[in-house]
Amino acid sequence: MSLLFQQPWLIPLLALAGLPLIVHLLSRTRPPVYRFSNLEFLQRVVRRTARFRRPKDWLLLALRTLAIAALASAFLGPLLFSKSGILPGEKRTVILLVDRSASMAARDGAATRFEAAVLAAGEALDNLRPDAANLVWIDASPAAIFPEPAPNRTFLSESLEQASARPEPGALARAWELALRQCAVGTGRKELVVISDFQSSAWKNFDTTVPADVNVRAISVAHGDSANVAVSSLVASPAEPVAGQETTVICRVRNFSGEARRTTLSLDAGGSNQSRPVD
Amino acid sequence: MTTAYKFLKPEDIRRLKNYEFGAKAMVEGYLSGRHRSKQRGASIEFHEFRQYVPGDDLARVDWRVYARNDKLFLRTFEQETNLECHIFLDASASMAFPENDGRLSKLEYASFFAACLSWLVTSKNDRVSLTLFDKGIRKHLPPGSTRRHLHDLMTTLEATKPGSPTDLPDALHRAHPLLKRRGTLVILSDLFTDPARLFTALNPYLHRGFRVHLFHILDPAELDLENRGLSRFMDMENDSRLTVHPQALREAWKQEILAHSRALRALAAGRSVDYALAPTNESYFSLFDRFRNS
Repeated sequence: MSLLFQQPWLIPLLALAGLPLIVHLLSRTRPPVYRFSNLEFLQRVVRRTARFRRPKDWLLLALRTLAIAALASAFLGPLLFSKSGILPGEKRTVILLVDRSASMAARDGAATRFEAAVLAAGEALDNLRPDAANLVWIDASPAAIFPEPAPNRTFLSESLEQASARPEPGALARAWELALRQCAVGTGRKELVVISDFQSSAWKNFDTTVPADVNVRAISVAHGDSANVAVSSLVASPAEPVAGQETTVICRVRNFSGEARRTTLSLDAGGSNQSRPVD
Repeated sequence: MTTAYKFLKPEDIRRLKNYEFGAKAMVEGYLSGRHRSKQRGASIEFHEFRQYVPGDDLARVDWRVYARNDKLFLRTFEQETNLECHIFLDASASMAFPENDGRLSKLEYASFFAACLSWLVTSKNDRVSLTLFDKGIRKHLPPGSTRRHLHDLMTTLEATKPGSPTDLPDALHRAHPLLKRRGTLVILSDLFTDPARLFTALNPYLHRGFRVHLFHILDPAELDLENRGLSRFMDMENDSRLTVHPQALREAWKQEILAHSRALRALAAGRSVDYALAPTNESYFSLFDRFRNS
């Protein structure tokens, strides 16, 4: 957490915080002189009451100083911001890295994950209000909407609305690399917003290291683990059998979800149905 | 008597004359004591013959009786007890308070009272002494009852300026040998001193039979601290300084002064010493009433 001011040229105003102390010291040193008959008694009284008065005096001084400091700070326009915050007047570049691989077609309730991702991307653009932005898809052949980050957020929003999940795996490494390149050419504060279902098979061992000047924000659109099981390869030998010829079919099934699943494989070969449960 | 003295105003003298009973009681009572004493002494009033015993003053032997009877007899006379009034006036720097305020300073107030008391005592042909003190004895006028003595006393009071810091107990200790005869000791001071030490210093006087009046003279501003805003208090006696807001200390100060006064009063009561707090905004004639009431 840092503190900056919107009117830093008014920082000398903070010197006014010393004003109560100066007034306090001046009033201590320049009161009118009063010749009194006996100070010994008076000192005795002061000693007896000082332990009650002194904290009160200091508290009063502290409160006055705080009041002046608060007033000066109000003029300065203090701004508390975290790492994701932005300084007044600072440029901001946002790169949206949106997953539209096959797993994003899965439904979580009424909407698909991709629809949720589009919604989240739109909100990110609206909230962050970047000076320049770009959109990089995570799919089989990752590409950016603009050659480099541009201020046209409207076009990005339209591209998001028109897109849909594709029945293909996502080339995560290439997409990530492309997004970082887009960040590198951006100006000002750079933010990479990653919107995905973060399926474990793809992201578990993926190196998400980014340059120090890039702030990464991850938005997961997956609500729980869906049954993400797919046939990853299917081989028949011989590939073109004749009638009556024995054929061997080798089917590879991959579980992309995070937990063990049981499913049933069915093979329909010329009217012959074969089913087999798979763990 | 011509009274062109600063501290002896004609109206005060007129008023003192009206104190006939009070003055008489004071002068004829313990203060000067014209009543006859049990002690035998030299006077014109014959009392009786007494047989000589070794050690008697041979000057008092009646030689005519000895010539007739061959025995030594002494003529004894009634001794007129002319007990004296000893005024002990604090002339320390603190008695100059308040300065430049249009009010009587404590020293002026005490001087007025001392002047009136001196006039009252000498008007009855009794003797009065004046001792000015601060940290020691500044001036001592031995007892006297003449007009000349009264004049000296008045001019001494007028010439008195506030001096050094106070040390009443030490001054009492030093003055003790100066007071040859017992009498009434009237102390006029602001009494900014340790009560126990003060009464220790008074003990020799009390043992000698002095009647002691202790008048605690304070300005009203000393009784309750004036509300004057933040001020740099400077001690009139030693120039030490203290910056305080009197309003914040007022109640504690009042308690302190009252406690001091109570301590003095309690110690005085235990030793049959008359103690009176005398604010300078009250007439000093109220102090004469204390003599009458004593």
